[in-house]
Amino acid sequence: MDANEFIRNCSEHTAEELAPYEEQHVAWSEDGKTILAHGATLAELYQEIDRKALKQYVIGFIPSADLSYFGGGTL
Amino acid sequence: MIFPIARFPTRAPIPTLRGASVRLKSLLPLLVLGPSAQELRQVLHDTGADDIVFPIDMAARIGVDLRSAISGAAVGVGTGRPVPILYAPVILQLQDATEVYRWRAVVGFTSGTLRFPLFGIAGGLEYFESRINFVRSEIMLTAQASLPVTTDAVP
Repeated sequence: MDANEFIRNCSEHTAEELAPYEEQHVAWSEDGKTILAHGATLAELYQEIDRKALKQYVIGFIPSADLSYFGGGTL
Repeated sequence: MIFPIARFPTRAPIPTLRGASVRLKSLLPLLVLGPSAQELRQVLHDTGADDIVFPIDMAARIGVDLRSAISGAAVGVGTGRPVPILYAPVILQLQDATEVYRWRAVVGFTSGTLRFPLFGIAGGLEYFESRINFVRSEIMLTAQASLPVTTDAVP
């Protein structure tokens, strides 16, 4: 996997494209072009990954397009 | 290693960014190797985090047995009361287009809500010279001699 390509491609997605996944845990394709699975919780995401039998992915999170985050990962 | 800084679009202009509508987040793709599986995750480069911390659900996913783990407590912005944290060894790997670093680390797993896992100091940033340049939109990490490198695949 090319980490830099992944980050650049993830950053190309518009707010409209990401809207359905806001505040959800997601499994990105390794090139960052596609969201392969999503879930409101990590456990739900894992279930979806298993249901789809995904093998190659990067787990991430789509932050709200309306919220400012204080910092850290815990809120 | 050099990584681009991730960009997330916002719906409305951001007053503190003089009307820009993109938030920058210092995320790194980190490979986490456990006893039975590995997982590639976006983690937040966080100099304010004492430890590397993952959600507890991930532990079982990669085969980390937390039954005999050393326990502790942690607080963060918005947590209010301390939340439990369990520590266990894993192997971590970072790589960009030209370099790969794999090392052993003891990391925390927590049931506290995490949007992004934290790539904090202990076991992580302590081993790198770290520079974040938001003008050039780059995270630069230079491995130090203290990095406990390994080629192992199992912690």
